[in-house]
Amino acid sequence: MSDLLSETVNDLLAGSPGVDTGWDPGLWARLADLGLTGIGVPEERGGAGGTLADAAVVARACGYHAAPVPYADHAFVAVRALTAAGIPLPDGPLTAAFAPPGWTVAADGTASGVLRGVPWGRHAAGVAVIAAEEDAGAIRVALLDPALVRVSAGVNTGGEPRDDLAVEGAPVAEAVRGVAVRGVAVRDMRARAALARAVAITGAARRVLDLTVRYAGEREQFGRPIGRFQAVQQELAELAGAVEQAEAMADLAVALADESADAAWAAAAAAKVGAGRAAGIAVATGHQVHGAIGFTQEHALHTFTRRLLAWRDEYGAEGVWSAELGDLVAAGGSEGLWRLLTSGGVHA
Amino acid sequence: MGDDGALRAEVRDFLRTCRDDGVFEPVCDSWLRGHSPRFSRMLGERGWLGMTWPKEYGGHERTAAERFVVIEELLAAGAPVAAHWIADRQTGPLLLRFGTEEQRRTVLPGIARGEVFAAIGMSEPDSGSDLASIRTRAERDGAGWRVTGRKIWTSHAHRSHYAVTLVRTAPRSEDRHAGLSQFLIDLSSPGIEIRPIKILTGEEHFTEVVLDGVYVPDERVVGTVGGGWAQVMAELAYERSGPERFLSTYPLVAAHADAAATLPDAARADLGDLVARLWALRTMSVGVTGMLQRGESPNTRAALIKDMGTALERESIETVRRAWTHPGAPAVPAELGGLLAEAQLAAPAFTLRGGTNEILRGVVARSLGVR
Repeated sequence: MSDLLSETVNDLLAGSPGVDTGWDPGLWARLADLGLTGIGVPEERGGAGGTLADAAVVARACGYHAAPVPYADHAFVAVRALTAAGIPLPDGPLTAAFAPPGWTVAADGTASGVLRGVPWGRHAAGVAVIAAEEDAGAIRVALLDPALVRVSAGVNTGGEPRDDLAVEGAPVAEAVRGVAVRGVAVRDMRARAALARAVAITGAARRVLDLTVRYAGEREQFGRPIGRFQAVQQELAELAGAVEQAEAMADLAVALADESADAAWAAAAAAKVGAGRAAGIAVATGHQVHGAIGFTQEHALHTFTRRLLAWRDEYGAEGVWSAELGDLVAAGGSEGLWRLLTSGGVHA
Repeated sequence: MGDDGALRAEVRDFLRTCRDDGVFEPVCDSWLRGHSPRFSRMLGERGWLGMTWPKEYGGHERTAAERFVVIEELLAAGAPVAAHWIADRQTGPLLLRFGTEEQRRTVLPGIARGEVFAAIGMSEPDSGSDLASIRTRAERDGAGWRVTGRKIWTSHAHRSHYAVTLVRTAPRSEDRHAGLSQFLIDLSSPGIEIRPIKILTGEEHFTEVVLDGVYVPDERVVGTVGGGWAQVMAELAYERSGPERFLSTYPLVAAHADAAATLPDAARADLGDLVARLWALRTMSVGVTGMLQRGESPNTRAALIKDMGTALERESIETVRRAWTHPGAPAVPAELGGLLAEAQLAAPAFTLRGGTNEILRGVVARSLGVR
């Protein structure tokens, strides 16, 4: 199932032109036609059903092809939050934002505050705003229509839309008041967002590996392909290892996403740490092996390395998640650590 | 998701009882340093050796996943599993795959009982990473062979019954991988001299094995004469793919986790980073176990995991050490200090044994298509 899905999505994305335009509504429409944007939405609510593992296949392929669509934000975060809250999903790409300090919703249903760096904010059909409830184990989800707020367009290091949305007490849609969701904490949704980036990173890092291996086989110096030199081979092997390690942890975190909140959270944290590390190695090694041509925008490499640099910092860099994971391990001691490490079971 | 709960709990109960009864103290690198025939027999009695092998050879027909649960629990506890480790990990599987019926019936039941141990006869004084350059040679003698040469860095040969030994049965030719064969050599045979070699810790687990015209009957040839290279590569997949390639320092990491609440924030963040990598490697290792179960030969993935796992083992020692030697760090708990000291002396071997990390990365590079 996932092999067939992967093949379908990769075929579609490989045939889509214009990888660095920031937003491709035509591509989004084609993903929607295939039912891929409805993954994670229950079938009785007009969705395609499917699991997070299916969404991960698509998100990884989007990373591999640097697809200019907010798929990971849509499927991993926005759909999850809005579906849990029972809020009907508007048609079109959805994105998500975490309510900043000072975010307020007045009694009349109007909200105030600035949502910073919202992925594809200006292009989204709706923004799922996730706020903490007073009860720490719950969130309040609101749906915001970006057409009704002031948008300051921005981009991340990879050239993807990251927009500031200023919501200044304007009369906005009723749904902005929000729906409380019990049993899901803000930390769970943060981990889900980090996992979305981790999965995308595994796609882009795998692409950098493929590009770099190909280049090392083609580029000749001293009368032979540079990939014949052991020094280059060792670098490539290290990169391959980092990519596989990141893929394995991201896959496990996806598989554990609906398990106990602690295991799901910790696995997502570990996935973001591993993906961030792989991103750093992919950027450094990819550029080192490509030499000067890779340092230009005349070569495709930058499309992926610039995104990797952005994604490894978004929703928490390695240092953030390492610190939180370290705190969890220190609190649980060796018993807790071993329970964590073996929580994926052995499914050989 | 953990459908391995009952078996895991059984192993953990057993290990707890053993520790309470003073059967063993946890050590790092216990799969090479913790040599205890008594403990091996205890595992054999419980059916935790030869777990995946057919019952007719003394095995228990459990799944590779069940075996993984047992061995990862043993390693995490730092239990003394060295006596049987190589026999259970690679000698048995090698004989099941390439051995004769008679070899299996003779050797496997004893291994599964925890009474018969085996060593690896690959490296020689002049042949380390370049294994195909070995010079130990075998010449025909009636219904058998006479073996002459030297094997070295052979762990526990002086405490083992057999050594699966790679020998040259035909002179070197243009195909340097041709003419090699594997013999199952009885280490009590006349003409064998075993000299223990002290390692950094002062322990004697390395040996040099001198073979002087040792007679090996035809029925002790493993697989095909001249087919040794392909067989030894298959054997290395068993040797390289297991969780001992990232859990050798786990007793140290566990003791560190128990004490980490008293450490500064930066040290806990380092621990978090270490745990993230350990978790990913375990996940990959579980995946390779699945490949072995399905009869695939995961040479490249095994090389990849061993490269990263052993590098992580080495770094984990530095992570722990940095945490406890930082200005303002609390005093190192005694048990942790002991584990840290011994782990540092064990560490240089992590990235050498079973194929150096440079060689492993070469294996990976070949699979990428650049070699």
